[in-house]
Amino acid sequence: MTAAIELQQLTKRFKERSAVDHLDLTVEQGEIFGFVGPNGAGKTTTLRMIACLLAPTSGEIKVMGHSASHDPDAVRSAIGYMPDFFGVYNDLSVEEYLDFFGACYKLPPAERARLANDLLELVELSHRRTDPVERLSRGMQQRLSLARTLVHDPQVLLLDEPASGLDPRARVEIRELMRELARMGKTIFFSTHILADVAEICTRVGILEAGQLVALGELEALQQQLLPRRQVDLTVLATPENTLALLNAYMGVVQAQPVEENGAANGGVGSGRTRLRLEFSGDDAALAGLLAHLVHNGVAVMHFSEDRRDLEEVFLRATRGQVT
Amino acid sequence: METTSAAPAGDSPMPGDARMPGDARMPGDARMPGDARMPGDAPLPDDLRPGLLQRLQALLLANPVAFKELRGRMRGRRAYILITVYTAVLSLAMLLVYFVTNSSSTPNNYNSIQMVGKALFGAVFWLQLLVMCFVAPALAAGAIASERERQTYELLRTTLLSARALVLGKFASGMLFLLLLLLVGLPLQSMAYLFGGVTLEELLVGTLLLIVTAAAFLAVGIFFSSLSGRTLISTVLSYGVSLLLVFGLPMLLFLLLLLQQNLISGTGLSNMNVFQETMLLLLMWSGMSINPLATAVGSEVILLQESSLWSMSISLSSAGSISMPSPWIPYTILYTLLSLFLLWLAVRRVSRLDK
Repeated sequence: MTAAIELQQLTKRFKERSAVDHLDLTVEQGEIFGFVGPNGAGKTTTLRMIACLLAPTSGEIKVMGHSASHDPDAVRSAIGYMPDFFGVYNDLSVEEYLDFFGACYKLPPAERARLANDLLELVELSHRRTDPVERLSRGMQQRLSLARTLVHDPQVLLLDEPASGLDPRARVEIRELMRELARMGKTIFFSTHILADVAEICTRVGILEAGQLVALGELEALQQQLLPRRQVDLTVLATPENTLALLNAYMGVVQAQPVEENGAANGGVGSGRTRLRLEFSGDDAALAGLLAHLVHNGVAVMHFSEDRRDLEEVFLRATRGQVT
Repeated sequence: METTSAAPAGDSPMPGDARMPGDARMPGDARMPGDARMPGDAPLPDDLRPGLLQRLQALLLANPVAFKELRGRMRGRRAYILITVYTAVLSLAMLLVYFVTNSSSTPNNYNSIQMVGKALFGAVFWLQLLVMCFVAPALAAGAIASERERQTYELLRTTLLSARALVLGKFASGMLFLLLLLLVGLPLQSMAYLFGGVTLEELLVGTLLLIVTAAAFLAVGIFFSSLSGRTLISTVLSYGVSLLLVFGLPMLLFLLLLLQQNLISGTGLSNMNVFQETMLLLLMWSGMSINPLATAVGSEVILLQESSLWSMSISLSSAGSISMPSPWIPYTILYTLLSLFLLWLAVRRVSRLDK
C-alpha cells in the first residue's frame, strides 16, 4: 500500500534559518498522526509544504504516491487542508461557502448540492445553512472549515491546530469528528502543541523541534522510552502512614508521598481519605500488581490512575526548548 | 477560460445577463435584492441570441470566482444604493447641462437644438468615464489583496482553482458590474437623441471607449492587487495610475503643446524636414491616443471636420500629406493590449508558489 504521506529529507530554509531540517517521515494510510511541537517548531511550515502552498528548499514530498513538485494538482485533489485560521467570505451563506469551494474543486453543481447537505449533516450545521458564515461561533466556523476540507472527498486530511482557540465542548466535538473521519478511512495528519489533544485519538505521534523530528512512535512507547517513571494518583480510605509503608515495601515504587491539600477540597476533615502520589518504574503488569497488593492488604482504594498530565513531561523531555 | 476576458467586452447585453446564473441554477436560493430593482433590467434580447448568451452563462458558471463575486456584489443594499446614486447623479448632471445649454439656444433653430443634444451626450459620456475611472480601481484593487487579507487566498490556492481562473473570474465579475453601470446610463444617453445631433457612430465609439477604459482600469487594479497583500496599498496605486492616465496625461500633453509652439516659433515649421515633422506628428498622436479624454475629443473632431470615423489626412508643410488613424483606434488597441498584459502578469504572480 502506498504511504499516505512520505517526506524525504524535507528542508525549508528562510534565509539563514532552517524552519524544517531534513525531515524524514512516513504516514501510512488510515493513521491518525499527531504532529506535536512547540510554537515555531516548523509544524505549519511542513503542512504548508505538503499542501503545495510553499516550495521546499530541498527534499521530496509524496502524497498518496503523487509528487508535490511534479504533480501538485494530484496532491491537491488527494488532500484536504485546514489551516489554523478560518477564511471567511462575509457575503456568503454557509451552504454557498461550501458550494463555492466545491466549484473550486471542479465538482458538478448537482453533486455540490448533495455534498453540502451531507457535509453539513456530518458537522451538525444543517440548521445554520442559510446563515452568513461570519455569524457562526468560533467552534461552528471550525466545523464548517473541516466540512470545507472534505468537499472533494480527499483521502488525506492536513489539519493545522484543529483544536486551538476552542472551548472544551468544541474541542471534544472536533475530536469526535476526527475519529469519525478516521473510521471513514481517511488518513489524518494534524498538528498541535498540546499533547493531551493527541493522547486520546492518535495512532502515532511525531514530536518536532527546531525543524527536526526528536521523537516518533506510539504515544505509549514514547512514554515508556522518555519517562521511565510513571506517576500514579491514588486515593485511599486509610491512614497515610499505613499505606505509605505498604507502598514503599513494593518493588518498583520509587517514591510515594501524600498530597497536601486544603481540608475542604479533600472532602473535609474526618472523611478519612488520603490522597497520594507515587512515582513508579515498571511495566503495566507491575503497576496492576501494585493495586492488587494494596487491596489484598485491606486498603480501601477509591481511586487509582496513571496521571495523564505527565504527557507534558514527555513533551518537555523530548524537546529542549530550542526554537529556530 | 480564454474567452472570459474577451467576452464581456465584446457583448453589451451581458450586464443584464449577470443575474442569470443565479436565477437559473439555484431556484431555492434567496433572491438577490438588487435583482428586482435593477433598472434597465426588463427587455433583454435573450431570445434573439440564446446560443451566445447560454455560452456566456455557462462560462460564468464554470468560473466559481466570477459566480461568487457577482453573488456577493449584488447581495444586500450596497449595489442597489450605488446604482441609485449613480443614476441620480447622472440625471442631475443632465438636467443641469440641459438648463444651461437650452437657455442659450434659440428655439425652433434645428442646429441650436442639436447642440443641446450634443452637450447632453457629451456630459453623460464624461461622467461615465469619470465613474469608470473611480469605480474600476475600487472594484479591482481588492480582488486578490482582499483574499489575502481575509486569509481565503491560501484556501483557494489549495484547491484545483487555477491562477488564471481566479484572475479572470475577478476581472469578469468586475467587468460585468461596470457594464451594468454603462447599461443603466443608456436610457439617459437615449434622451440626448430626442434633441438630435448625436449619431450612432458617436454612441458606438463612445461606448467602446468606455468599455475599453473600464477594462484597462480593472486590469490595472487587479495587477496591483496581485502584487500587494494589502487592499489599501493596491487601491492607492491603482487610483494613482488611473488618475495619471485620465488627468495627468492631459497636463503633460498641454505642456507638450506649449513646447511644440515654442519649437515652431523658434525654428519655424518650414525648417523641419519630413522626418522631423512626421515624428512630431506621431508623438502628438500617441500623446493623444493614450488618454481617454483626448482620444474622445480627437475622434469627435475628426468625425465632425473630416466626417470620417476612421482616419484623417494631415498635409505636411514640406511635402504631401500623411493619413493618421482616428485616435480611438490606436487607443482601443493600446488599452486592450495593456489590459491583457497586466492580467497576464497578475496570473503569473498568483500562480507563483510562495518562497
